[in-house]
Formats: sequence, structure tokens, C-alpha cells
Amino acid sequence: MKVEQSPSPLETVISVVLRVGVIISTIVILLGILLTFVNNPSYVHSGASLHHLTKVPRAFPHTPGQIVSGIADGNGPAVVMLGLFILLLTPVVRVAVSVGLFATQRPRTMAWLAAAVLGIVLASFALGTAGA
Amino acid sequence: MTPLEFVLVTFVISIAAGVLGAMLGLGGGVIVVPALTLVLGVPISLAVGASIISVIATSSGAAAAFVKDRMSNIRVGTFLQVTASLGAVTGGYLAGVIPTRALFVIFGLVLAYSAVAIFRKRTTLVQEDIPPDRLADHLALHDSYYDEAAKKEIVYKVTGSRVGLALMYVAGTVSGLLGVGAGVLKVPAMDLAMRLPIKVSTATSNFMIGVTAASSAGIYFFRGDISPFVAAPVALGVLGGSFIGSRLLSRVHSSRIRVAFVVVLVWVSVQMLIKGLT
Repeated sequence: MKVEQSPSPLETVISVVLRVGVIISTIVILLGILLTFVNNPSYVHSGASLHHLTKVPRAFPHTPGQIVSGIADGNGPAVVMLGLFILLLTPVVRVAVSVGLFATQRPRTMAWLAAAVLGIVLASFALGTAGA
Repeated sequence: MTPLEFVLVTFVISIAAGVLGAMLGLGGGVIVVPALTLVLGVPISLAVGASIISVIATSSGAAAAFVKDRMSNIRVGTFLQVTASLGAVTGGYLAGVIPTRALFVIFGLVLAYSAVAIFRKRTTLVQEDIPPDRLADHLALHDSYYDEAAKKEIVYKVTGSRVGLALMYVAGTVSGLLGVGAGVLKVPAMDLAMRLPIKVSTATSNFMIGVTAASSAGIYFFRGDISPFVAAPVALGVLGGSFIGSRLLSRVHSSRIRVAFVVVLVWVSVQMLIKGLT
């Protein structure tokens, strides 16, 4: 039986999109953690701040304004949040790319299905974010 | 404990979550949430926020490899994602309307049943008596993958696509409603109703769960439930773990994946029954 052994162009492009998203977010998150410890040397040897850092909700930059101004100031946690946001967008970008890729293939139904998924994801993302 | 120690401990735990999640088609929440809340004393809202990040990290990290290896069936994943996403939106709206205690009990029982059914299913790689499915034919869902453990190309057919769509809607709704990772429901749906090989089921579940999680992650992110200090080591650890897990899946025998998945199903089932009954 003859079987296709290598990934199709569609699979290769989707794999690359996921890889790029993962690599960029990893670098940004790492950079943010490094900045956090460099700016706060006491984090390495003193447990005094742990409660504030990991046990108090909303005690860190989380609104778009806080994150943008935090990055401008070289604030580590704000840089981490940017990295996490890039990670969060990766699957959404992947779906958007798959719409275009499926459009070149038969049956076209797959492209419509992918477009429907993208629509639902963007709508729930916008609704959820607006309500937050 | 110093913040540095916290970051390192969380990172190591998250590697384990990433390996397990990548191989079994789960987001790793079954490990991350109990570890953060019970062991490290993180409040549940921040643990759930980190768990959402864990789902996206496992999915993106593992799917990058699985898609290239043709282990994830992206046509099946996209097809099922339509109702899974609609279900997640439904679940989000129904949260707070429907009494969740009874639901925890119902789905605890459903998971227990799935565990028994998956455990009893013959662990053969060759599909037998696959009923024809014209929708699956039309969408060209049938595919093949190379299984390193069996050392051969496994050609498989997809069936029960309509039942699969319906089950994904239910799985999506439950995940939105109960905050239970949808992987534990998606894998049995693909394995039992659509008769996909277990590795294709877990890899395709992985491909899908990141999209569902990303659509609800915005609300957690901007509400302040995703703490950079908790989520950063989780994201990095899970990404590393999912990379390892995605390499291992092809090499481990399908029967072992099946048994490991059953163990996790029983574990989650017990957790849900306890939540519903106490």
C-alpha cells in the first residue's frame, strides 16, 4: 500500500506557526523572569515577598495599560505578561492561518469550518475580554 | 520559601505536567492545579489561571511536533473544533445558571464509564469493521501515521463523525461549565465513537485544546487571574515537558498510553464525584 510519508505543506506551515509562537513567547517570558530577579535581588534569598507575589490575586500588571507602561519601565512581571499574551495568541493565529491553507484545498468545506472556528474564538475572546 | 525556590519547584512540577499532558491529550491541569493549591498554597483563582496557560502551552508545544509527525489529524481537529468551541461558549454562559454539584456527579460517572470502556477495548492497532461514514469520506478525514513503537505506517479510517460532533459540543459545554480540562472528554469521544487509534486521539485532542483554552483565556488574563510569577514557570516547564512528551508518544506502545489514560480518567472521575457529593 502506498502511503504519504512526509507532512503535507499544510501540516508543515501549521507546525512552523506553532513553533515560532512557542519560541518567541519562551524567550520573552525568560527575559521577564531574569529582569524580575535582577531588579529584585532579595527574591533569591529572602522569602518575605513570596506571599505578595504568588498568593494575592491582581497584585501585578494585568490591564493593557499597566503592561505597556510596565514594559517601557523595564518591569520584569510586565515583560512576562507580554510573553504569556504571545503564547495565548499562538493557537488563534494558527487557526487563522489554517483558514487560508484549507482554502487552497478540496473540499472547500474545510476552509468554511476553519473560518467558523476562528469566528467563534474571536467572538468569545472579545466578549470575555470586554466583560473582564 | 524564597521566590526563586518557588519558581524552580513550580518549573519542575510543570515539566511532569507537560510530559503527561502531551502524551495523553490533556492540558496538564490535573497536575498543575492540585500541586499549586495543595503543595504551594496558591489561591485557586491563580491556580486556574496558570492551568489555562498550561493547556495552551501543552497544546502549542506538543502540536507543533505532532502536526509535523502527522500524529494529529488536523482535518478531524478542525471539524470537531466547530462544535467544541460552540460548546465552550455555551458552557461559559450557563455557568452559574445550572447547579454544578449534580453535573459533577453525572460527569464523574460518565468518566468512570469511559475508563471502563477504554480499558476493555482491545488494544489492537488494526481497525476492524469500521462502519462507512460518507461525511468523513467527503471531508477526506481518513489518514495514516507512522508508529515508531509498532515500526510501521498505521492507516486508519474515521467513522461516527456526526456522533463525534455532538459529543464535542457536550465536552466543550462541560469544560466551560465545570472548568474541567476538555481533554479527558475529547479523547474518549474520538477513541470510542470515532474509532481513531489512541495516539491519534490524544494528539488530535492536544491540537484542539489550545484553541478552546485561548478563547476563554482573555477573560482570565485581563481580570488578573494569571499571575506572572505563577504562570511563567508553569508555561516554561510545560513547554519543555510537552516537547519531551511529544517525542515519547510515537515510541511508547499504544496499550501503555491506553492504561495511563484510564488511570487519569479514574483519578479525575473520583475528584469530580468528591466535589459533587461532599
